[in-house]
Amino acid sequence: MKRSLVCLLGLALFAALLAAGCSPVPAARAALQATETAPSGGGEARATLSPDGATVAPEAQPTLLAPTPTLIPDFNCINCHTNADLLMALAVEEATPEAPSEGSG
Amino acid sequence: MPPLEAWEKVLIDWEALQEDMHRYLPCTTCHAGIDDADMETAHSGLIADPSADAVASCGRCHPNIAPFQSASLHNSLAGYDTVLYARSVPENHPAIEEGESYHCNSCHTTCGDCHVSQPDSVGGGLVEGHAFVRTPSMSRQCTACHGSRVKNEYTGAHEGIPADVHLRSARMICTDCHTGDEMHGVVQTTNGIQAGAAAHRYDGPQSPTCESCHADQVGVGSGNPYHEEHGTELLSCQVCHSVAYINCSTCHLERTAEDVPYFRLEDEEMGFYIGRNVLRNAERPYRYVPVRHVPTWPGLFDLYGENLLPNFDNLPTWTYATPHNIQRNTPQTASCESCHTNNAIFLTPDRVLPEEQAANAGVIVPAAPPLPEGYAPAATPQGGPAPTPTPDTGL
Repeated sequence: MKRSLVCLLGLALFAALLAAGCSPVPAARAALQATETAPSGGGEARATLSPDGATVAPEAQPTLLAPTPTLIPDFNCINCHTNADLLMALAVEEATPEAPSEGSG
Repeated sequence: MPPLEAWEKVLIDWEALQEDMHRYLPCTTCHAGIDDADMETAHSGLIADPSADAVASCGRCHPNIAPFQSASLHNSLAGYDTVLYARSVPENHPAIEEGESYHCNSCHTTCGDCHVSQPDSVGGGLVEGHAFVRTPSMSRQCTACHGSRVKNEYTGAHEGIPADVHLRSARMICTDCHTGDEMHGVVQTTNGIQAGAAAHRYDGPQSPTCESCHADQVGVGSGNPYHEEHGTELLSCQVCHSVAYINCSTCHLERTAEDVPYFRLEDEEMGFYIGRNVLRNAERPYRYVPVRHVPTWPGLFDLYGENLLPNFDNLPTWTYATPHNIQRNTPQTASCESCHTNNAIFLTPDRVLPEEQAANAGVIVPAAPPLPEGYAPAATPQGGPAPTPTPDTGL
């Protein structure tokens, strides 16, 4: 029962964000966060982040696909790589320092 | 072009990706790794540039292009090996290849380097948020590698020299002349399509050609007195329609204190010089072409071994050139005397270093050609009948 309520809450939040003109991914991210942070009865709050992409918020995906039949490829990859703040926080300086080569071609 | 920040390089633009057919492919289909919330797990086995193996990745959906791309100069960099091997001996090839791997191979280009990311030579990074671009960006992809010569010449970056007329007058970009087939190493023959596998950039048919767009303005029958006079086999178009370009000398392969490999040019000089065409063949029949000094020298690979280019004189250091600074009117087109009797624009012996005389023996022009017999200054092409054809003196 609680899990259904969580899903409903997530979907409602997602729909609200979508209606407000937010891009699909941040909206989906918010929906995911809602499902992750809401209390769950069986300690399965992270079920939506299963390594198996097929189990990621299955009920939310049809909404994300609209209006064209777009796949959500590998949600975990997309979830991080569309998040500039997260990438900035995780960014590390490249191992190879700049070398002063001059032009080419 | 400033390099992208590390995080920018991998930032996906979700909305841009939604416009791209590739959205139907899960990330892991091309990049491997594991779709997992844990970063370390997700990145295990990751293939950053799947198109490094063009056939196995892009070739699954683009079988008409990917196999050819593998043989293209963009991918094979065969041009480097062709000239270095010609100046070397087989036992030196491994050391040369080691040097190339550190100092030259960042110009190696995969499908993704033109259609998804910036090339490695400028640090890489997604161009359109991982949306695939059918036509590469001139500024962020083509000239990211072809910068110091092509970009600077084409855009008029050299002081006092205007941009190429194709940019100034028609805003043409690289791909307006350089076709996908050319870039992908596909050669269209009368018998069909075949892989290019070119040995260097001037190997095989000319592509592009000026005649592709200017067919009615070239050679006999064109109505242009200069063109009528010189035909199509004496001079390449650039001999008359190019202006001063950059000539580089003495590239040094070096390493920083942190052991980072890099290269440094000892000298660069602007100049325009006409030399003999040592590549003369049916595809490039011109007797004279502009020649550019390339930055090679006998000690180029000294960092990787002694005397690795023992046959240095096998190839010239002044090479066939097609500068990208075409102008309708140039100093050469001002009058007949601008070229005839004008030693200043020819690669005469005094312009070639003593130690490079032997390598350039086939390129050096003893002196500018004389004016045609009976030529009178009043009889310029614009003012009257064309001058008497210049006899082929073998210069």
